[in-house]
Amino acid sequence: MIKIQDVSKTYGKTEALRNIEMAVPQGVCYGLVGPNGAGKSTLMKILAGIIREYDGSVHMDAPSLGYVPQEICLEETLTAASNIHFYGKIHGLKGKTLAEQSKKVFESIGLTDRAKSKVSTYSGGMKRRLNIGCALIHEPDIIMMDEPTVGIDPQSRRHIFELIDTLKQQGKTIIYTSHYMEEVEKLCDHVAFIDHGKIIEQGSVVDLLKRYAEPAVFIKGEIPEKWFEGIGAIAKDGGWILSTSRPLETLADLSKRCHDEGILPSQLSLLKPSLEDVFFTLTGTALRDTAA
Amino acid sequence: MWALAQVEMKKQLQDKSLLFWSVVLPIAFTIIFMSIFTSNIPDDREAVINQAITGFSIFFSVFIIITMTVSFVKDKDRGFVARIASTPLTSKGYVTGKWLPFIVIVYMQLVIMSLVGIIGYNMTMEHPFFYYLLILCLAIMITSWGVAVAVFSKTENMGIVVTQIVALGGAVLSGLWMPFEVLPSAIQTIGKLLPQYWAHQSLLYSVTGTSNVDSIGLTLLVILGYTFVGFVIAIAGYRRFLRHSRS
Repeated sequence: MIKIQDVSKTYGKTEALRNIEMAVPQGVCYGLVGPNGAGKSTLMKILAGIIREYDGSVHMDAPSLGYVPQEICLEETLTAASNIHFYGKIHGLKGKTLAEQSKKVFESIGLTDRAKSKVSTYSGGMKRRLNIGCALIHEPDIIMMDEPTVGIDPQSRRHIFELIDTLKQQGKTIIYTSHYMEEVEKLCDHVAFIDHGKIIEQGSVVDLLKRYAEPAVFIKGEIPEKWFEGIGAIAKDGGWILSTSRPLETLADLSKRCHDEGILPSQLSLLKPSLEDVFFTLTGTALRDTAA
Repeated sequence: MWALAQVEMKKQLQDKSLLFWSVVLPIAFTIIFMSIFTSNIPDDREAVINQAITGFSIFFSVFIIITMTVSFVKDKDRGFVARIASTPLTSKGYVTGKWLPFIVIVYMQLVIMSLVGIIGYNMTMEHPFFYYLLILCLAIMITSWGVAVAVFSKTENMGIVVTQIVALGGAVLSGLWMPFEVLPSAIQTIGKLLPQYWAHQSLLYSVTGTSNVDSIGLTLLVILGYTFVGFVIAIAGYRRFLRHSRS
């Protein structure tokens, strides 16, 4: 369990975090979501023990943690194995234990056949995976990942997702920051939305979706505009979105109406509620707009 | 700490530019210097080689400050210092782990320069023990300045500028390029305040048995004092360095 109580942090006159209260249960993947500059990385650095001057308190039950920074900080002129061994050694591993752990880590990040290659020969995605591997060498109970998938290829992204799933199955606590909502939704059990240094909402992903985002139906085609007047429909991508608590009935109604009036819509589909919708409901802005 | 020292050493030894300016360039300068200044006055050959080896050893050793600054600034900029702060390696361990390889590198550089003199130009040493003790202390002093400059440098360029001032200023004022006695008296007065002067004169003493400074103990005290100054400055700047690395 990680307990964060009334944590605030200022840089000069800028307030980076204000009165953060959070409890992260053991063995969950906890997402920190918010636009760039919201305070996610600052909170992450406080939790990782990198920033030590702040107000409030942080309590962790598990003693060991692995931190994956946003920056790829590897020694490019050395081999991947030397990089992994370095982090192992500073965590007190040596000899056979270090060799075995190192082998396990390379298997988990899918780079066994490239362990002896210099990091400078790696692609961006491979470096990202190695960056994660360096934080796993000492088998930490808590793993903090700060935007681990920024600018990588789909293959490496898939590898990272699989790795996170494996870590979750092993009962590790993961704190994961990203401004890719779909990633957080896919990987995390719990999520906290941070904006302007404050937590604006937190809870389990399922609960938040239930509370703040309604399912919707999307229809596109040559549909008369008057159908959607006064029912709160939103025009989007040349079609209309209708939020509804009874999506299947609404879909059936629209389908029947189109049939009755001889209209053939080019698209008629159910829209699953997303964290993006939750963020929009909470802040009135889309995360993509604020992140840009 | 040892893990970091190992990695730093490996990294530096792979750097061909470091090998060039710390070993190849001083040797090339010595050869050129010898060929220019001994062609017309072969009788003074011994005095010239003593001056060249001891003077160039000190002059070129200062340039390690650039490499140290580049290494520290890179660690800061790419988030390495921040990442290390999340591990059991302490701040002291980080600085010591970074610092030790550079002491070894400078010491090796100074040893190689002495071997060039001995093997290449038949330089004789009256007090070899003192010579190798002095260059060890010199390596510690120069690298302590290196840490001090590195933690205060926002960019690599700042380190380059400071190093040029320390190296060139020190060389001119301390008589590293020409015998101290021929320098104007005003320069001699300033030169006597600098550790390069004391180190150079004592190295000359270790080689020839005579020089302006015949007390190795006094020189070691001066070098120790300047090492202390280097560390005080390094400690003063380190908190700021960490703060900039972490945020």
